[in-house]
Amino acid sequence: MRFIHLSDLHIGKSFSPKQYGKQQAAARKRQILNTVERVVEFANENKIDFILCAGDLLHSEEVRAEELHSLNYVISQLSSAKWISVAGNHDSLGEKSAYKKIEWCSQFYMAPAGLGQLHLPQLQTMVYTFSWDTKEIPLPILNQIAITRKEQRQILIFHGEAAAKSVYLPFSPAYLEQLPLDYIALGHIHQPRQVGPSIFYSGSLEPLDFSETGDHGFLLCSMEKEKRQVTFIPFADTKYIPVTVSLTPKDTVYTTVQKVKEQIPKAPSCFFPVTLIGESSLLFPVNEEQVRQDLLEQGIVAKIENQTVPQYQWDALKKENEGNILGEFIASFGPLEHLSPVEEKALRYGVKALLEQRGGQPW
Amino acid sequence: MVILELQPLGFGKFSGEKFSFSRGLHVIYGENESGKTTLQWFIVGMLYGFFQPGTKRKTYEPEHGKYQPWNTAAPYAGVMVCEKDGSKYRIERVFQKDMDLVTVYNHQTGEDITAAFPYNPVTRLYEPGETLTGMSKTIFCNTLCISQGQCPFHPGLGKAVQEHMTAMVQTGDGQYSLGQALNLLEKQQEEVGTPKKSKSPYGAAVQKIQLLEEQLYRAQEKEEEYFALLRQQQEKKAELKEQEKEVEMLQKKQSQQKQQREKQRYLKVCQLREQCQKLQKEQESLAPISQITPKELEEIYWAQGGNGQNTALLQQYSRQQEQLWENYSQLGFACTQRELLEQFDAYAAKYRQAAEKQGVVNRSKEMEANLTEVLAKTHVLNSQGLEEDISQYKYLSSKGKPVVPVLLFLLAVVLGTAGAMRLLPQEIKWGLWGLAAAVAAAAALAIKGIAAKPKTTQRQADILGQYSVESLAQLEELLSKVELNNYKYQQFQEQLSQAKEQIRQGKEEVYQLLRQVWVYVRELTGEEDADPGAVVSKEMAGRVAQGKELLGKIQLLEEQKHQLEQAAGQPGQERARALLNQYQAVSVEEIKEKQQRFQQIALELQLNQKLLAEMLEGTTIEELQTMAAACQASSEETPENEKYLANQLEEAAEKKQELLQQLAQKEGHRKAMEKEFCPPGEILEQIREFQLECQRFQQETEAITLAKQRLQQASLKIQQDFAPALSRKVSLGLPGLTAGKYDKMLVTPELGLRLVDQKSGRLVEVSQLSQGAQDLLYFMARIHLGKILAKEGAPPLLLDDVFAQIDQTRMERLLRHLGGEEQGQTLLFTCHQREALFLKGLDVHWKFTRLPA
Repeated sequence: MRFIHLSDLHIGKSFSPKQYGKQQAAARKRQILNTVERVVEFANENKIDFILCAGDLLHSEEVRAEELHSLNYVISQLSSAKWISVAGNHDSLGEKSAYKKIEWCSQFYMAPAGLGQLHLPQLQTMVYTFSWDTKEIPLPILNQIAITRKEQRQILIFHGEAAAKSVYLPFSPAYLEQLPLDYIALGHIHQPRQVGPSIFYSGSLEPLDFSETGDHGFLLCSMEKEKRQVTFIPFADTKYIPVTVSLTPKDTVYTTVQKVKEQIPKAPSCFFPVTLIGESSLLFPVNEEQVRQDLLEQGIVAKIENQTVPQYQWDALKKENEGNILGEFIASFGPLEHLSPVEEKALRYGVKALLEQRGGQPW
Repeated sequence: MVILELQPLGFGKFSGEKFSFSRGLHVIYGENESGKTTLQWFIVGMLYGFFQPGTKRKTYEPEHGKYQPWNTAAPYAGVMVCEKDGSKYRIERVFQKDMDLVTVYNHQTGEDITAAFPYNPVTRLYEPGETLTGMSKTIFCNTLCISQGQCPFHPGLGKAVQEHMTAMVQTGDGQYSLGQALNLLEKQQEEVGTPKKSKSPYGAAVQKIQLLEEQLYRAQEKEEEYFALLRQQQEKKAELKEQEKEVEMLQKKQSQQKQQREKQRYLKVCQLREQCQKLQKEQESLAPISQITPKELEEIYWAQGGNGQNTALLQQYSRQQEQLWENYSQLGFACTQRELLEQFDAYAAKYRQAAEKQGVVNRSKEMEANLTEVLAKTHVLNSQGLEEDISQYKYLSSKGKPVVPVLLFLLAVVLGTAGAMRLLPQEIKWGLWGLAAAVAAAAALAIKGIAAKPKTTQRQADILGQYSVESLAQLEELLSKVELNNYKYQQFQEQLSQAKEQIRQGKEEVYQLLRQVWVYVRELTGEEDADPGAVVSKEMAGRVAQGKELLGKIQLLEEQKHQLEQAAGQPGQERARALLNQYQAVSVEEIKEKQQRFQQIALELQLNQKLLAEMLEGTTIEELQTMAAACQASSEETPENEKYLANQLEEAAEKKQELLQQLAQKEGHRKAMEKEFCPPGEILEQIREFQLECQRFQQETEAITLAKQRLQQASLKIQQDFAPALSRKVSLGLPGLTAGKYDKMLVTPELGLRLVDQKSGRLVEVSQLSQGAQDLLYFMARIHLGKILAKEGAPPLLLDDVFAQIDQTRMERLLRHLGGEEQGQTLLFTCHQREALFLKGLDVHWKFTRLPA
């Protein structure tokens, strides 16, 4: 028996046009559906028995009916496999569930709210399901379920968090491991990982955020008698590739952009979380937003995180200007190591105003 | 900073003189016009140049033109050596317009360190003045560089000094300006804007959030509406499902009913078929009897006595016959054979034929008469004579043409003449040639005339006259007419002969036909003078028809009589028995009954078969059997009223249709909603983005506000610190200047000055003092302010004849104070000697320099 375990597709989720550019934002949405189409093709070509989707298939808050129809059509192209889904926190089966908006094809099975089971006699398999019907489940409901062996193969699929306390259906991996289950398919965490001998997160099929670097795809599982093999298949169409750029205080927006471009690998359909390190001008640090916009205009989607350190220390400046307004101004902020973002900005703006007004060398 | 050397290479009256100075008080004595002020300005020029500050383009001050070198050969330039913080600097400057140049060397190493000083992009020169003095030119000229008549220090001092004073008070550093810094922050704040300013980024973001929130509200309403619609759709679908079940159920009932009907029909059909088969069987068995002819039947009937009716029947027949004969005789026919009457039509046709023939004969006769008349009028013409005449004419024409002889004559003449030419003398030759030519000409003319006009003989004329024509052509035309005439004549004759023949033949035929008809009519009527035309009369035809009929009936009766007579005899009996055996009957009645039954069966069978066909309605019995087999209902079940069921089904179908329509409408409505529907989540996401932006703007605003607050706080602190500092500085020399009366001066943040009475501790406004005392105090305050502004390493104090208007006592006090300033440098330019005289008596370190006259 072979099956695919995937989760967290978030179909319908919108991407910020400001961050990605209007065209890219729309294209990104479509890309996810294209990946689902490829998964279906894979399933047809490799004689997969069923596909488990462990929650958040849809991004209910934003998904449109047209997208539902498209997804339904794609799933209907499965030649023999069945698509077994459970609802997660983003596509819960509440009163206004997005699943109610269309008639789903026969290949699609959505587990009902709460605990349920789906028997696949031809595969000698029992699939236990848990679907959400609210946006939050703070209680560890699954830590109390009792399952007995009814079939040769038993699988549990749900959307939750392996934690003691959480609003996202917390559970104890240790408890679940001792149940008669051959495989536990999880969703919610967007990185593929294993939390127990039989407990797996597939991670999101496509990365959805700048924090989701690394490979994304699905888990391909095969079960033959006692033997079980779980393989991660990288399948995402796009990647978020982290980039680190070192700056000096003399770097401007332009030079920063050039440096970022030099570091970026030639990889189409990729996005870049960029970290700026090194030294920056104390009063005129590089404007991250401007850098991001300039990169976007050149077709590069990036998120800029500034971790540069100011070239000069405030203390030195304060000391040099003891007795004048600049020194007094810096002194008024007290210890400078733990300034809040507002204080840090206020300090920079005040000093900048004084120096600009004076017309002296910028620090 | 201390000035060590001055060397104006070309500056006003100076051209290359060198002046050396040292730290402390230095009196520079010079008579009027000796160049004291010039030297002072030289110092200012060497440090700062003569450019107007704060301009966007290089602009020279009036002093630049004022101090052009008197010695035109000398360069408008100078050198200054100064010391600051242990380093010695040599400044070389060229003042020449558009050739301005400043170079600064390390006086000890000779290294060019010009680039170490600030670069002024307006003058395009490196300016050492501000760095070396620690103050701008404006501040220097308004504090430590005191020119003639510039003694007082009063609130009407130069604006720049005021501003710097304010800045100094507010910021502790004359270069900083709290107001300007706050302005910059204000501008920054304006760029961010406020939530209420819709045109600012912050305000725009807030407005956008408001719009999006409205959209969200509407979207949420739409969503409610949408889901309500979905629910309605679900309900309708459930209702439709129920309705479809209902329709299905009714259809099933109807189908069952139909099946039952079919079953019954089948049963009935089977019955009918059985019936038909039975009848057919019976019919087959009775078929032979149907073959019996009426004759045979009658034979049997009569053989069995015919119920004693034989004789009566015979008599009846005879009577009938007689009656018929009587009727026949009244018709007036002589014959009694029907065959003869049958021939009537044929003879009528013959009569008509004879009439037609007669018509032909008559027409032939007319033709004959016409032809005869025509022939009488025409006759045959003698064409042969005419032909002969024409031949003769032609012959005569050809005979009279001597063209050939003429030609022969001509030839002879020519040949003869040619022969003679050879023999005759020259003169004669010419005459002979002439004669030959004449003859030839005459012959030619003759030929021409002959060819043109053929000669006509008398005979020819006669011929023409004979026929009254003028030419051969006309003659020939006449011939053709004659020939035509003769031909026509011949034709008429032939036609006449034909007509006659036709008449003859026709008459013969008519006669024959009429004769035949007459014979027939005579035979028919028995009249000798019978009119053959009677065969075509209607009356006769009617009689003949009647006659035929009567004779027919008579014959029939005769036959019947014969049959009866035949049947009644022995052969008839035997025959009857044979027939009875054949038809398996014992009597005529039985036969008749069987015949009747046979007919009945045929009728019945026909009816049943028709019924069967109607019942089958185009299907076969096998098909009907199949349909009946499918019926599960028991035949004992009472079927529902068909009409009622049909009505119910119709109603149910209508309701289903209605539900389908409603569903379609809802579906359409839903699809329309989906098209324009924006999920609330999408709008929420946009709102979140703008909220984040607003947070950033808010953070910006808070940061700017905090910066302004802290700046103001810092300024306040500075003010609180600076004024006392200035007070302390100014207070240092106060006892000496006021002869111990005051030991403290207070400088208020508003730059006001107050003195503290040493004895009473009372605060005295400086304005309450005498003018002289005020001047002195303000003078001191100005000097100390300059030193404070310059911080450490203040430039030298330049005093140009400043003691001219103060009294001796104050001058002494001031000199004593200035002499005590050993660390700094004071250059006192004076045209009096009293300062020098006074200083000689003081225990202070001072230097004297005399300017050349």
